[in-house]
Amino acid sequence: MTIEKAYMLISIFLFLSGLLGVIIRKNLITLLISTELMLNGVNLALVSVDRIVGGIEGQVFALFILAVAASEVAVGLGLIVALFRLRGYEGSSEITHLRD
Amino acid sequence: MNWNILIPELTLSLGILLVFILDLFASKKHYRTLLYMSALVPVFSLLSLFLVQHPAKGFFDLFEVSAVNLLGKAVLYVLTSLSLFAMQDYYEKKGSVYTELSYIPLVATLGLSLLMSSANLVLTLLSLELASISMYLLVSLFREEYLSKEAGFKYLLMGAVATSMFSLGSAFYYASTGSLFLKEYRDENSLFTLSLLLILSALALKASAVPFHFWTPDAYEGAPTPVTGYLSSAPKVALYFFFVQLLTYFHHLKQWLLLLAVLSLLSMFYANAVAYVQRSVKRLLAYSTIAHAGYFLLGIATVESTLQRALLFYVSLYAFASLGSFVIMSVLEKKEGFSHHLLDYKGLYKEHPVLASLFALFLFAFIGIPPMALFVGKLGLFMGLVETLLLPLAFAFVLASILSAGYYLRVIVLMFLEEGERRFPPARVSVGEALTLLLCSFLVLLLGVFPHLLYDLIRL
Repeated sequence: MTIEKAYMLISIFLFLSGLLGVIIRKNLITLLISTELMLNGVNLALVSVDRIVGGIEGQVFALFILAVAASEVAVGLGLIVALFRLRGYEGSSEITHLRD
Repeated sequence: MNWNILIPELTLSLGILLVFILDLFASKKHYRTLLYMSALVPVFSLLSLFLVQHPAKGFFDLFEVSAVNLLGKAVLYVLTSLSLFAMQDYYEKKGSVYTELSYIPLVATLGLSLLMSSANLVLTLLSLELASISMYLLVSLFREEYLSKEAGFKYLLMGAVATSMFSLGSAFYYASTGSLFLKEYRDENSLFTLSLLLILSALALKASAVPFHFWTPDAYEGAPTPVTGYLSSAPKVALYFFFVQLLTYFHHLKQWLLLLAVLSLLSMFYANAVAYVQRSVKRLLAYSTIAHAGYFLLGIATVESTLQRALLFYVSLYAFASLGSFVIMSVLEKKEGFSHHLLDYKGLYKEHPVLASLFALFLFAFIGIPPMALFVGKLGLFMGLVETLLLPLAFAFVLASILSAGYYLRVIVLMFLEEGERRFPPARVSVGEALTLLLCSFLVLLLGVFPHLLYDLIRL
């Protein structure tokens, strides 16, 4: 196994564990961290693809993804603070008021 | 650098900056002026569309404009302007005045407008995120309202999953083709198919097709109602114009038709079945949006210009009908204690004959009753499916449309034929809302009688 292939496998593992976290976790902050994990797995994949293909577009894309992830987390944390203010700890650990 | 092709977006950005700077210095009492100013910004972008020479490419081939692109942008700008006009009075009556609200919809529109012209996966992701993050903010900006925050968080979480799926898909696309530019790639391999699957799932999540629809009813119910109107109209138009562009690069894959057929069949039948058990009209219309996503996805099942023209006509007019119906709901919500429960709509015709009739008009349009323009779209889509010999899909489409008539008709029956039980204080229609409602219903009726006015402009 070449080093690039190993990196790709690690990145896919990171992505899938983030996805699993989004599906099974309930705490809001853990959910945000799981999405970060997914995006960082993607970053690793992009950078290692760069090495296989021999370009630099992947690294540029990874930089953009870092910025996007940061802004998404900024909005997400702001929302968690707002939820916490309205409902206290119970409100921020699990949200199930809107459903069928 | 070919700056000419970017004129509409530049106009929009300058308008956003202007409103943003004025917002920094203005106090809360100038909220109305700011909102009307920002509602005029898309009108200027609409006028500047005539200056663009097309077809053209620019910015290292990242950005391309064609006649269809420009038409999509025109529809998008009109929708944004109308929904901004309809926002003002609702927020004032609900006591939730944020001056930021005047330019955040414009930022979302800027993202959607860039999305329609992008020819590179990096630009696609960035424009999609610009639009999505502003829409998370729009959903959750409602003072002291827990449900809107919860809806915003759920939307954000699902949106973040879509972002990461899209970017993993682009990483695989890059690995198999060696470039992030969208192009026709004939050498099929499993990595490329996987990238197609991931990118398509991410876009289906944004378009709220069924296996990825979880956020839609929650976000639509929790969001302030004028924002729901924006969410159900502008992003849909942009996404389907982008889908039509994407189709030229991916249609030769043999999995494409299968994936699209599964997505659309699931959305049509699942959403139409679940809509029957809804108690809230807002949620019912959210499920109707999901069902419509199923119909629209049929329009890109295969390459055939009649099919795509019908799709673009249908989605543009659907956006106006949807915006109109949510604006009516926001007018009604200004009454004290009105909760969008089905029973609250009982006997609405007695209290508000004009509003009830307009609402009935939009609901009839969703069913596809002839004088309304959505009928022409449905007919075109059906004809296109028959021409391309996708007969099972065509019949499923007709069946789902007939199935959907029941829940729309139930709302109409409640409004017109039954007596109201609860009494609400009367609701006033503001000038902006009246303008939006008039234009939406006028367009839905006019283009139903003379469809060629728009149909001839869609040249693929």
